[in-house]
Amino acid sequence: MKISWLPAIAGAAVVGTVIRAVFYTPLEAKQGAAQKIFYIHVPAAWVAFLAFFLVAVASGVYLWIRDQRLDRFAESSAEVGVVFTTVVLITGPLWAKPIWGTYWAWWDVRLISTLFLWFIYVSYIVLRGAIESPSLRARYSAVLGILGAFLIPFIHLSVYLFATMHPMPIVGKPSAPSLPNEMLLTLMISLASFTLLYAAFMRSRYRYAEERDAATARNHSDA
Amino acid sequence: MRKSVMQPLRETTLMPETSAYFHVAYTVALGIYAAYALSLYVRRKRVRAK
Repeated sequence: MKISWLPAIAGAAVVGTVIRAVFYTPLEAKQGAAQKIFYIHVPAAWVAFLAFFLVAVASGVYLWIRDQRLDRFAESSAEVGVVFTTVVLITGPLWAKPIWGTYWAWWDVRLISTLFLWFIYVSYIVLRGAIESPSLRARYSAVLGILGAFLIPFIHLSVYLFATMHPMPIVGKPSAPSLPNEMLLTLMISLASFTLLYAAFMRSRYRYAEERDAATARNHSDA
Repeated sequence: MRKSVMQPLRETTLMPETSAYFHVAYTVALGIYAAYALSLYVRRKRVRAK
């Protein structure tokens, strides 16, 4: 049996990260166990932003050189990004309820803009399914993929621009991280292992797209 | 200015009871990743069989 090393390593890294976060990272003084949601919520958000940023880059280059591989990469990254954004949108409210007293606040700009980001890339997937012509599908979805990514810096900066319930950045800020070393190390390990999981998902999703396109081409030549 | 400083708990008597949310969040998140990995496996297997 052939072993796929990347998914195996990514899976082991995620399991190791969860064990470290649950059993070997101290509880936070004011939030208790709920704060440990931080170690899956923040990496999911980081990976989602990375995925959509790469959709925009691949789409931009596709519009320039029209290489089908870039369209497949963008399509794969958008789908994986939606999976990670779904995790963000579920784990966030589960963390918010015990800490803020509510699952959701419609006036919180970061929550709403993250939900919009999810809708944009779900629309991207729906759009791809609705257009028959491969070149037209690639072109239209590339434009949507680029436009959607403009939300990413807005979501990151929303805590500076608006009154939100989200705290100021703890790690991604100009000054030193406001996190004890043992928590910071768990977060860094978590960011690395979920990025590895993104790479494993991407490789598998990209190969699926290649195999699907090859099967479609075979069917057309047979017909 | 909203503060964003996290502090590790050193005295267990102060711990608030929020573990149910933590358990649900981890279960759901890992379940979503596992379901997506399974969906990729199934889709690739189907497309190869064509």
